[in-house]
Amino acid sequence: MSGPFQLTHDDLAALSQFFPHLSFARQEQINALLHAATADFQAAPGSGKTTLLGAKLALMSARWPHERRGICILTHTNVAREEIERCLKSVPHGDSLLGYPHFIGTIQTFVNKFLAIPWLRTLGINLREIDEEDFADRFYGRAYPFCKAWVDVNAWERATTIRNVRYQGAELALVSDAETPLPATGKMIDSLRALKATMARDGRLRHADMFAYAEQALAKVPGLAEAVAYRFPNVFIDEMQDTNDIQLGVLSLVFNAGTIVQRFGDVNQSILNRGRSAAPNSFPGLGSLEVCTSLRFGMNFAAVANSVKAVGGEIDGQGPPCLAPPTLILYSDATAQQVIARFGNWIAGFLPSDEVEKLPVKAICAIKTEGNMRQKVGRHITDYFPQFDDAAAKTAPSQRSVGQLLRTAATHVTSSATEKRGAAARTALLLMVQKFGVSGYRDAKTWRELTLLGASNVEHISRLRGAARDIVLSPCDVSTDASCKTAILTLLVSLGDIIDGQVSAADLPVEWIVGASPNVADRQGSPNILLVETRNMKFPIHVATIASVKGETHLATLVLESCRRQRYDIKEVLPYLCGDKKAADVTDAMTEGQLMNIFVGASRPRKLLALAMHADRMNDRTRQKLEEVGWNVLDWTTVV
Amino acid sequence: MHVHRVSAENFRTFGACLNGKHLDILLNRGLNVLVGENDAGKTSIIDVMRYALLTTSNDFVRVEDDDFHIDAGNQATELWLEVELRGLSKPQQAALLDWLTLEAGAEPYLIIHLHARRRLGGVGGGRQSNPAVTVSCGKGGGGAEISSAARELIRATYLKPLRDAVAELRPKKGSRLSQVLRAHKDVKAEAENNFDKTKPDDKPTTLVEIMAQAQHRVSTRKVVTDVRDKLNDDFLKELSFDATPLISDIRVSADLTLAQILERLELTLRPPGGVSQDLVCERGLGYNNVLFMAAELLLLSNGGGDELALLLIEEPEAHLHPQLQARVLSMLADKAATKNIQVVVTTHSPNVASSAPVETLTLVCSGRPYRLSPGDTCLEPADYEFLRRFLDSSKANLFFARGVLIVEGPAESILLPALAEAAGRSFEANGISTISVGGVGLFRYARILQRKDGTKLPIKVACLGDSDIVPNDVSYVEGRQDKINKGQALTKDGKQHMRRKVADYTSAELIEVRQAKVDRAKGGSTEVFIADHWTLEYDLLRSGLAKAGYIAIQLEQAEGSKGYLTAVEYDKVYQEAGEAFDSLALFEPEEAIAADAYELLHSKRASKAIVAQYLAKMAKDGSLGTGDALLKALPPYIKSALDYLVPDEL
Repeated sequence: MSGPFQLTHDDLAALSQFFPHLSFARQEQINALLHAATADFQAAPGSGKTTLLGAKLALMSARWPHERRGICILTHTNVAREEIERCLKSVPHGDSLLGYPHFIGTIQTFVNKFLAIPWLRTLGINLREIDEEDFADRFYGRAYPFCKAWVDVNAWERATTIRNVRYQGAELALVSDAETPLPATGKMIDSLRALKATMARDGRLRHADMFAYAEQALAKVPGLAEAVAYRFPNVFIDEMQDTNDIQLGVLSLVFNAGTIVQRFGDVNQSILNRGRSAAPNSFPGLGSLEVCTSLRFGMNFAAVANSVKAVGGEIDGQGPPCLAPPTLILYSDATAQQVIARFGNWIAGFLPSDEVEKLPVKAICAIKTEGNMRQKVGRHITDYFPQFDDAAAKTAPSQRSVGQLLRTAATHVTSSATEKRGAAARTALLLMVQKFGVSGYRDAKTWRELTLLGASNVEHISRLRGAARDIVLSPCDVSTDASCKTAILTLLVSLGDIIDGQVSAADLPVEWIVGASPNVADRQGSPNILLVETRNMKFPIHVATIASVKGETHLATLVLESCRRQRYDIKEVLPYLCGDKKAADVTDAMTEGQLMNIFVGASRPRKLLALAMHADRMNDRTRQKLEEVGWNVLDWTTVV
Repeated sequence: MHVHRVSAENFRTFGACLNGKHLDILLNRGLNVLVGENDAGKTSIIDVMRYALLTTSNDFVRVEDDDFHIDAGNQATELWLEVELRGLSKPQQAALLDWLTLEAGAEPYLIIHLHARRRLGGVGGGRQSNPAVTVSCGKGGGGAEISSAARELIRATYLKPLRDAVAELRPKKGSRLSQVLRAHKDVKAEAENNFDKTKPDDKPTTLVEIMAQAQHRVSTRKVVTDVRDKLNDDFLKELSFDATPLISDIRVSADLTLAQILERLELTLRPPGGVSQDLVCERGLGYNNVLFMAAELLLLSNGGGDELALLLIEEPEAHLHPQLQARVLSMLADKAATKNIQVVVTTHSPNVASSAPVETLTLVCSGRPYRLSPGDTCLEPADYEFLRRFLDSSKANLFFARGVLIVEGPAESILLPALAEAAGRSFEANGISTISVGGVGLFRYARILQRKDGTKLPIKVACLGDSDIVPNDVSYVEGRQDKINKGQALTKDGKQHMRRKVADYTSAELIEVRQAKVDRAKGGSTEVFIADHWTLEYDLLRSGLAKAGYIAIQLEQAEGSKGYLTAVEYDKVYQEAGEAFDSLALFEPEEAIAADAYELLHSKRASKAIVAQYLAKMAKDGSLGTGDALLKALPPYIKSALDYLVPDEL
């Protein structure tokens, strides 16, 4: 095959049909679309990175010359994968990228599918559903008896060391991601190795182990890396800023100089330290291309974002004009818990009602709940919104809670809905059989094993399948703990003699019920939603962490102050917002992190941005300076 | 990419792994010839590949209830078939990445695993009664299901036995010829169509343009337009509804696409020389069969793509005369070696078996495959080349028999089947082949049927040889001791006179010499039977058949150079010789009669083959006796050989 795949200006002409409502006329977009060689694309928030990537992929798929070689699209999260899938489904030819020979999915899925899982199969390891928490609990529980002396020296830190044990590299070296490293030699480390190996043979592994096994496969199977690289001549990595060294390490073993790797991301939203990473694969690499135009917001918010942005060129705000200038809200101890509601009532006065339907309004904060009680108010979400429920905010269901799995099976709505729902239903049934099944069935590690065991008994198979179908198609009520228990008991009964004896509600493990009932973030009455009702309008404000809203577009965003190590983030960034300090000059990780959080928060909204901080931490000089650069400062320190 | 291993459990002849009755066979990269008697499992091996890989002809193949192995009256409820593909090229590895098996130190390879379970009825059995089949990858089928994308790459090309080559070559949708043509690198350009109706006489430059021009010319001929208009005006118009008129058109091809045009072309053989090349001359089924195979080979070698190049041919000998069978096999062997095509052939033809290199043969006996490649047999690698030349088609019978009698010369091969038949141990009825190798040294080729791994082939082989040690009272052969007795010099031209007679050896040496002959071939299921005295004829003259042997020699002498005896002459000689023998027997010991009578044969004044013919005739007409009586009269070593090959039922 000759040369890399190259799009031309003629191809771009098709974009106006694919995306009639979008324009791809800007030079930086055209550059990004036509760029054929390996490159990094540093994309500003709201620059339409995903749309751009989708457009590029759509154009490539229309002319893709290979029958059995594909494009590999790697994302950091399944949410991002689904977003790209949606984009591809909306254009002609786009859905051809969703199947063979292409790959679209997370880096973890990619590594598992092509490297780790086939290798585990050869090693005779039958992988169970990966559950990090479960692994840590089991491992610690079994290790503690022989690690007791070592752990108890500093239980707080060293328990984490044991809990975080994982394999690293092709040799499966035992390491731990924790403050205190594992001892290099000695009886204990030998015992830990043996325990880890035993659990591995039993199919209990963690995500990071899969990367180590992948490295092992690459080291031991001649030609494997070349085969993978040959299969995917073009690789796209989305949300590059969130990938870590382990992931990039394995990818770099596979994709060689002959592979065209294009990485998209926004380093300014990186959860890792910016500019610090000396790793050879750090993002963005030299000579990266920038996509700086944001269509999400106008120049006012762009100016705010630019003032707290550490890397790259200025964001050009070409989006719609804002409804109000960037606003700083000052609250007092007395009004802290009213800030969100008052914000709602305030914006209800001028938000266009049709837009409220389309885009969310969110109140976000960097810190969830932990914090020093002696610290002043403004520490974390619960200072503003005491009923915040962290479990309810989790998007991924726990693999240990049958209740959550049942709910996922019944309600998951995405492109690959049935597959997901079916998998959740099967996992739920597997958990039930493992706990309460008759001997034989009880040892099944996977659904496949379960069905193989049942192969001799047609009735058992049809019962298991029937139960899985019922879970998906006739959802059971798991809205309360009690109804969840009832639902599980009903299912156990429906499994008949697969279950050993009678199970009562009291026998059900507590963790099966955890997180089952509350959590539907988008359901009315969810604990993390505050409903705003005025005479002419009714809309919800979603309360969330900053980390959870990356990549989102809001109609209006309220960023709530938080505190880490006695430093309140909004107060810390005020000098940057005023223009007194340059974000690019920052070198300490703490400030970098806080700037990054405010950057992410400030770059979400389309029409309205507000930051909220305690009035005590504001002084007149700063307030005056802020107003000079265009900020609107509201004093909400008195109770209304 | 090629099939490296084929295995199966509980599939037809092949039983359970537990008792080692399953199938596990390695195949060569190039040519593989599966030989063996009917019902041995050759087709089942092919079918494992057809079921697991499916075929390019998209014929309907699926596991049926009767594919499940039956052992002692119990039919298995589950079976699996596994095909291991190795030697994947880089693009093949990449294309099949989703299904590869990874193993330390080996390039990634592919295992296709088919699992089938018989539905036993009961709950959930319902209407469906066909076995439930899943096809997945990896050893034991632990991996992902095989999708259609993978399927396209791993289809086998299958030619069924007694195929109808003429029908296969006919123009039709997806015909082989169209596939061959479509695989040509320049075919794309032929799809171009710039035919302009206003300039119909411009020279067409592509296949589609040629057809477009033809189409245009056809549709403007008066004959055609007349018929068409009549059809439209007189018939179709009356049948039409106003909104949807029916109007016909007469065309060369409904649609002027390259694909359709290619499917209209026909592959035929030219008439034989001497017949006008324009005449239609249907060639025989056999030649068309050859043409068909050639087209398949071309398609496999010419694709150059990533698809599996595996050709499964059942009985390539179908409809072919013996010499052509050999040529076809030579071509298959050649293409397999040079074009990177893997060919697996099943055959019942000794011609095919004998023209294949021995190392490509796999013997299939009662559900067990035995590869004949060096390393698998006890034959020395250096012997293979020789064995190939030696295996003319009559010797290749070896591979289709249930038992083999290997003898030194034509006399034995004429006489022994007749004796066995008369003695109630019929070779024919028991599937025993007799093979003459012409020299006891060649017995060692019986080692082709002996396994290095110590397993025993179920084919019994009996090697029948002369002792080559002359009895002492044979005066016309001079042994070393005779020379000494006569006081003659023992050496001549620097060479010692050979030890030839019993007296030349000590009794321990005699045993040793006989044992050496036995050891040349004995092993596995092969037993060696050495004449008790000297040669077949001599030993006959010393056995219960001495009189018959004597008569047969006289018959041969009476025939003389004339070459035949009339019935009257025969009866007369038979009578007289019998009487002569009887009177001799009154005075002479049997050793002396035998030595005297044998002299004619020893001095080549009488033909052993013709003597054997007369003996065989006597065996057939019952004059030698029948059943056990005859068996007891036989020289002991022959009786032992028959007992070994065809044991008495009781």
